[in-house]
Amino acid sequence: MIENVKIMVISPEAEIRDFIVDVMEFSVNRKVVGAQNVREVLDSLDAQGGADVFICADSLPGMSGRELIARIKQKCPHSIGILMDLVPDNIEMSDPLVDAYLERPTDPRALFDLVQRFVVDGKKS
Amino acid sequence: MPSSNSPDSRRSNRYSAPAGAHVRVFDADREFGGFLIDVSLNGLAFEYVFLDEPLKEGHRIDICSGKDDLCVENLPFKVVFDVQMNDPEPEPVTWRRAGIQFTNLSDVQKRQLAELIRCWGYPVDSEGPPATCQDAEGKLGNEIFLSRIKLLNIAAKAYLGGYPYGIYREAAITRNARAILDHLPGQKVLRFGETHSPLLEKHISRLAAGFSVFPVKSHGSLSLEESIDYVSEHLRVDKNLTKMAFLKVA
Repeated sequence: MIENVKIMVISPEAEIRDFIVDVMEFSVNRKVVGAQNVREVLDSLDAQGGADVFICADSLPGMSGRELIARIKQKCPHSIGILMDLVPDNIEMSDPLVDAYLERPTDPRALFDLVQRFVVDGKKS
Repeated sequence: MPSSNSPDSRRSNRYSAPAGAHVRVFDADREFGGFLIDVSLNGLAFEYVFLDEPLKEGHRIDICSGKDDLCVENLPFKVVFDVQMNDPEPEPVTWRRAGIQFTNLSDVQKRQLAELIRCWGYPVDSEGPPATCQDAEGKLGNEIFLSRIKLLNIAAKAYLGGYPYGIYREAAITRNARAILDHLPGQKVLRFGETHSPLLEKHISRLAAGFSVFPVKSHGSLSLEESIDYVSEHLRVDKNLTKMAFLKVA
């Protein structure tokens, strides 16, 4: 269990970002932060020390979600990076920087599963 | 990684399958079943227990909607991905998740597929996937609207079941309820085909109004439990909260 977990949701699409923030905030009963671009995330890393879990859109203006997760993990190596929308071709080829792929970001059950796995069970791999 | 235009990197035209929906994969020599995850007009994802032979070209697939026995049969496909799943607990069997793309569907199969998806409560154009960004955004908006209703229903059930509510949980559900109330008058997704039900809109409106402010109040003569049950039944929301033990912590 991650006590007082900090979660950040990064997506340029307000509708989906706000929905995921609401689901996660309901799930963990902690403040969940939404960010719409890379700059907001990097500023947050500098100012507040980042978060425990980052749920990141695959495609962001100026940078891919995977690249952003790599940048985050340079500063916060123990953070959990979850990439929306993509599924790896197979397990061997999956990216070691990405802790999970969120195939269906609009499915509350998929988001609850992430909370159970990473926040409650604390299973990173 | 799949390419960015592969079927399973899209989201706007995929529809989550209701509980009980399943698939049957077969060729001339063998067949096996799986649990349907989601489906679009171009393909689907499902999970299955690996027995002895991987999914391969030449197989065909049937889609069956568990509750109402609707089926779309004998669909040709090609495999997009087929990966072993990481089980959180050791299991005696190996589970795999597969994504497939339909190939050469007949016009009848296309119509049947669109009808099946409509019967699950989604608006879908049988002519094909979204043609414009605006269409895609509209369908994503519908999907999020339905997901917000599901979240409301789960939250309402947890609240009435005595699960603790803290300030952030309350704030999230208040925002969610207000978003539903904002979108309810203009939405079309609940006014479509066999799922059309003015009473469903009324129950959703009551629930959303009730949870748009804390402490929660019931509006009207019906109890909130009746609305939860009605919405669960019509939108096939899983009533089971046992897999959400984290909700017991506030």
